[in-house]
Amino acid sequence: MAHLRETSDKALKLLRTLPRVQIGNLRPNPNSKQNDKRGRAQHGGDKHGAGNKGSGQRQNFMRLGYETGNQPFYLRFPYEPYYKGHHLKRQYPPISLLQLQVLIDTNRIDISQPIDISTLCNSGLLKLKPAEMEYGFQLTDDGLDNFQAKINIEVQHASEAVIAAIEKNGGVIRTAYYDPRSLHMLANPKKWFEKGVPIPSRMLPPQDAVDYYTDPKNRGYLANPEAISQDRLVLAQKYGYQLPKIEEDSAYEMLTTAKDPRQVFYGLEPGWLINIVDKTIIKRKQ
Amino acid sequence: MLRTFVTSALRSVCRQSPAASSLVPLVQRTQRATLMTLSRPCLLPTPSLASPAHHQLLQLPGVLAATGTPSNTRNVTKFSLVKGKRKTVKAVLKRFKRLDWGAWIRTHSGRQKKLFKKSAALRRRLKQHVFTNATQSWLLDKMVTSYWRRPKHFINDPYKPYHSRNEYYATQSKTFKV
Repeated sequence: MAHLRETSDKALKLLRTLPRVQIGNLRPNPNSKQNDKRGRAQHGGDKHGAGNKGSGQRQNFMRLGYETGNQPFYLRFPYEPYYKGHHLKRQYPPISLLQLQVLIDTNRIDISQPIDISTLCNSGLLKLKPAEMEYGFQLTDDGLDNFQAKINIEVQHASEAVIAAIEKNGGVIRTAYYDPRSLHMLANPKKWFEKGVPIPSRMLPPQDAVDYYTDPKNRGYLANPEAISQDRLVLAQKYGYQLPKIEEDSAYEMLTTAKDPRQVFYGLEPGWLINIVDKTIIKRKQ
Repeated sequence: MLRTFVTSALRSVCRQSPAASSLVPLVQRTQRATLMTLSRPCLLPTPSLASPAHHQLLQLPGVLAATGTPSNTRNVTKFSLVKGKRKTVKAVLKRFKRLDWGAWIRTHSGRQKKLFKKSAALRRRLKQHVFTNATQSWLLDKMVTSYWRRPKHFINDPYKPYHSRNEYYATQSKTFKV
């Protein structure tokens, strides 16, 4: 046991002479030192990671869908004319009756005036892009049961249930066609008026749209007004509601306001020049 | 391959020298003859086939490259030359259709072949459309431009009921902003 005591004393004496273990005198971790030069020959110097053949060696960029030898996925299947004629079709962004009701309840739309594309675009929440083949708004029947507003609205497409919902509350609805130039004016009237150009006439609908807009069932703006009055009664009987008499309404003047087929804005005629700075309207001499 | 070289050489000639625009009809008229000549085993035109049109064609600076050193050609177009934008792969639009919630649909392969051998249930399934999965939808979305990824609101669209998928949380339609 004495020699053990001597050994431990010797070890402790040795340990006292050694410096303290700290970060300055530790060996670095293996592989932690990065060589600033590339290896020679086969140690990373021959091909620099680019391999022997193929797109890595030749630094190509394989195109999308390429499957290196397989028949690509996007070429395996037969043709189907999904998009046939898509560039000739007109688009109508939808507005639901629920959305319209909320716009009215939050006072973004003034229902004491007739509602058209300008009114909807001026709310700031609905956009119309005529450059993307959008030819106006279509009114859809979501929220049809909760709709209770007496409005005079002009949209570009509406189903029969929507027409019934609006007329049941004593309102009036019209479907109307606008040519692309008129759509640009209606989507942003201020921008058009700042150009200093007189208001042009509205064009007539193309051949495939004439049938829709001359039909009184669709409340087309080219239809016979007497046939429209007749169809209001027919629709009321079909859906089983009592048609309110708009002739006895206090807002009869507003409800019967309608644009001429050549007119773009309510109250403004083609040929008039709107001066925004001076707030004047320049008309033609009679 | 040789036809590609000749065509690209002729195209570069028509593009590089506007002063030679009067020669463009001549180039187009003799393009077929040149291709027929060069498709023979002999690369150089033989003296027996010499004609004034060929002589004029050989005077053009770019065509010499077709008979001598072949010029480079690129078959994969990533960005267009005129606008500098990505191009849509037309093969995708011929075979697939995008639904507004992100999936693409396609038809079955061989759906009109050997129908007499197939059962009635299989024939009914072949008439249906197939969804793509997430990886394939991602790939097809990258292969088309943003015009085709945009929702379309056509009247009387037969795919109208399939453009929404409201029972899945990720593709639920958002409430309108008011």
